[in-house]
Amino acid sequence: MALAVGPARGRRRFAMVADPTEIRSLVDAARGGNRDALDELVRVTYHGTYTLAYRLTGNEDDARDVAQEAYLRAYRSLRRFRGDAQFTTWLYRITANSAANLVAKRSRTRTEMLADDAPVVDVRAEHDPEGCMAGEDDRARIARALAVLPWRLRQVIVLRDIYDLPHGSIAIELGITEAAAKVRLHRARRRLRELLTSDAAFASSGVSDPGDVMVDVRAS
Amino acid sequence: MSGLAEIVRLRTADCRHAAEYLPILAGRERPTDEGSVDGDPGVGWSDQDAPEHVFRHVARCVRCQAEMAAYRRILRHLRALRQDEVRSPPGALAAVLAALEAAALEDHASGSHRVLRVAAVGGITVATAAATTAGVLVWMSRRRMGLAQTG
Repeated sequence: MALAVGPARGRRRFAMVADPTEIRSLVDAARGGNRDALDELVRVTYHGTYTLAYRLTGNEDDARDVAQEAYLRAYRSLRRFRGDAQFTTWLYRITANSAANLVAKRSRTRTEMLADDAPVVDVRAEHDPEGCMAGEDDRARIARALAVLPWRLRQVIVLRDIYDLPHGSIAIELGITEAAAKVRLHRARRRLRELLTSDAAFASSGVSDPGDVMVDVRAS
Repeated sequence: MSGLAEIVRLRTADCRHAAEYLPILAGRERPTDEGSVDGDPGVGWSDQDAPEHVFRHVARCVRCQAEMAAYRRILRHLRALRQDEVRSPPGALAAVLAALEAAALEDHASGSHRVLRVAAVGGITVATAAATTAGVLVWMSRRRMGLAQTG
């Protein structure tokens, strides 16, 4: 396991990168009933799972609950894990499903605006003391804009654009059709773009990679 | 002037129309000169992604290309977010481990109960079978004795 701690504001980069081979052997041992292996498996995957839960729910308490629920469900169905996908991908799907269940349960018990046109928090860097700090990069601005996206849009963009889950898997875990997942993704990207357009710092930082600029379209 | 205004109006309408497709097109790899795509050849643009005239418009329109570049930049940063881990609150990992421990103990206890239940049911079954057999034997011997006396 590689360990490298990065900077800033509750986030670290490449914090604990678990080796897939190590994870596979831990999964095998845990499936065989080895408790120590199960605990170690949780330790090496926890930060990634918690991060996904946090990105999906947007707050610490819910992220904690979702991550715990995901591990309990994974534990109960570990014997059914076939190993044809990576363990972390399987775990992320369970996490996404747990987060969706939490939000669904909450929306039944509390009146909450989950509509796509819900009021949006001001994400402009100049209106955020932390955002004014020198050195805040575009990635941090995007993370902040992501956190204020409506839940239904945020979940697809997190699962697809950050965690690279296939549309089909996203649709299954969120209980929607694949076509609906694609439509939501389209709307989510547009909304995120709109949010960032209002962020003067992001908009003025311009295109940083020449590869971003399209030169050719389908060899027209 | 009216001709120029018409051109501007049409171009703006085309941009608005193309803008509907840019979020998805930006998520695909762009084709290279060889006709394949950068990286994975399975994720290139296809005719299903947008009508042909949208591709033609985007190829000519600097404004749409800039918009596409903005989307690409956002997507690149989103992918990079995968490498950022959010620090979990203190005690969160320990709570998960404790919950798993509790679940394992519960499973063990329910497993033990299951064994006890099976043993109890098995015992009752064996006892019932033994009592039935004994009853049948007693009945048969009494019947035999009764037949002998009448005979």
